[in-house]
Amino acid sequence: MSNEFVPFLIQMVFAAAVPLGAFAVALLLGQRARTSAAKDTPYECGMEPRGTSSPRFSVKFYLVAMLFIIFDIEVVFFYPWAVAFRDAAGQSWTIFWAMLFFTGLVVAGLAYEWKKGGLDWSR
Amino acid sequence: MIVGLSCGMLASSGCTMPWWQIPELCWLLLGTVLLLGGCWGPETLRSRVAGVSAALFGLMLVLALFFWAPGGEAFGGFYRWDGLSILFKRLFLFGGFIASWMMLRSPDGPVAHRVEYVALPWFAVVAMGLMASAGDFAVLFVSLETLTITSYILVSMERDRGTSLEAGVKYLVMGGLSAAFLVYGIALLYGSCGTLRFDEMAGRLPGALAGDMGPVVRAGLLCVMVAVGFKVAAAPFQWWAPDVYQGAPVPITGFLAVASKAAGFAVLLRLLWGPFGGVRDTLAPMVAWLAAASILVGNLGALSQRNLKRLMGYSGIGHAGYLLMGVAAGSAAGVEAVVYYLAGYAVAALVVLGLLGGLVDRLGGAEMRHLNGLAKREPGLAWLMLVGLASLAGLPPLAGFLGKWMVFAAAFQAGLAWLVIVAGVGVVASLYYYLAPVRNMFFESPPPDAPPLELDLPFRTCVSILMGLAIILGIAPGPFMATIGRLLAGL
Repeated sequence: MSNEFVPFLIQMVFAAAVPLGAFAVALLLGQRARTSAAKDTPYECGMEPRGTSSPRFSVKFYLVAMLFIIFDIEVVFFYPWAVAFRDAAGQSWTIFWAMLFFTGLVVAGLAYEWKKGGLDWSR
Repeated sequence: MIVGLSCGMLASSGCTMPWWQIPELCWLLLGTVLLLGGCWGPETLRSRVAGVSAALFGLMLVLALFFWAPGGEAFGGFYRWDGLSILFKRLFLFGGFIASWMMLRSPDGPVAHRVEYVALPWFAVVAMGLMASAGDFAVLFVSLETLTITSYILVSMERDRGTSLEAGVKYLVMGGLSAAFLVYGIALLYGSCGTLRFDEMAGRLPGALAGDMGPVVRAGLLCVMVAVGFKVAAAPFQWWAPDVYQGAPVPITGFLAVASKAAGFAVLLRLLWGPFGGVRDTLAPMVAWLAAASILVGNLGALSQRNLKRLMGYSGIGHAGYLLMGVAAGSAAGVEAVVYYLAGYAVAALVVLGLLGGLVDRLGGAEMRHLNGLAKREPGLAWLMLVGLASLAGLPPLAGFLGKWMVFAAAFQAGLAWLVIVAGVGVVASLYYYLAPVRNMFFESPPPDAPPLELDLPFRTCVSILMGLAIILGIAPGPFMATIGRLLAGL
């Protein structure tokens, strides 16, 4: 095995050791508590963990998720542009205008979404 | 905008064209301006957005017809500005122009999303233009996906109509499958040739096919051809077409039938006379079989149809088959015939679908029985429809006849006599279903309480001009063929 994976192995050992250790300490030192149905259910933040397997939820979630993904991917394009043209951007206006054109399209998309009420959560 | 309007004019010669002269950028800006203007602009603009779009399409078409000259490339060869792409871009603009004209007049279509309905064809035309100009598989894939995603939205835009949604879902599923084929095929070709560039792949593909990567290359070619087959609705990849054509709003049916099919053939020609040029002889039999299957499936499937939009879907499959014959011929004459056929098909199909779009709500539907007695109610419109159908059926002296003649001749000269016989069977079958609506129009009596068919003058003019084009293309194809020959000279 090559040496550069040793830190990775150490990390995995730690990752396994910490929760197992916590369980072991709890088993050795802790008291046996009384169980109940509520205590045995998995912990969820304020939600009922059990219910129908196909719950209905608002279509707004899809909208927000889609818009996030679209803008996320669009904005991610800025990074390779900035890295790849780090030096060339200072010498050529073409690179600048091309990116400005792209930015304009992203802003146009945002303006459209805004006007269409995609950002209005209460609608 | 001034910069945009000059697009393509300056690129008369020379190797590179500056990126800002690419007409697709101008179209993209126009589409964006229409979209935002329709959303943010004053009410007067919003109500006229379809008219503005049609006028802009017309302007772009005029620029494209009179000012474009081939030569050059942009983005280091990713974008090719040659005769083939120019010819097809004109067809796309023509399709967009007629579709937006139909949107202007047709009551069919979504009311709540009028602006998107009008603006999205611009983005579709941008994607088609990039497909026709692609010099690299990455550009091809991205632009093809842009086109299909735009088409899904356009097809399923009438959300309160079940068939529209059904069409959208079917198109989405089949389009997803086809995209998977395409990207998988591209990956295999990239793996065996080590490049995505069309010009580089053209040199490496024959060697790779003969070498020990042969099976991989074959699988890659097959996958790419399957994806293109989906796009042009060739059998056995045609399943989506009748449902989508029937479910979409009529202007979008016309747009898909004309522009989207042309885009598929632009890609097919671009590939077979580009990266796959060295292995064209290997692929030609496959294209010939696709052609035969499409002609039989499309024309025989159309026989039992009673809905005109669905019938146009099946007949579109048949026409894809005839077009593939010209591609299978593998000759310059074949390619010229394909371009001519596409133009003739576009004109005739838009006559039929344009009339249908203008009349569909007053007739009460797009079934054949709704056409009953049209000759008694509106003789002029019935004759227009007759000419459109006759051109689609390939009756002389119309464009459809000459197109079929040239395609058959090219296939025959390439030694595909069996394919010409199959196509003859298809033509005979097609006479039946193209003339069936004629029987309804001329020999049936109109329903007793039929309301008057009010169709305004601009719409009649537009359809009449289209019909005139179908006749002129058939009688005097000389100048048109000369343009095609000149623009395809370097292919």
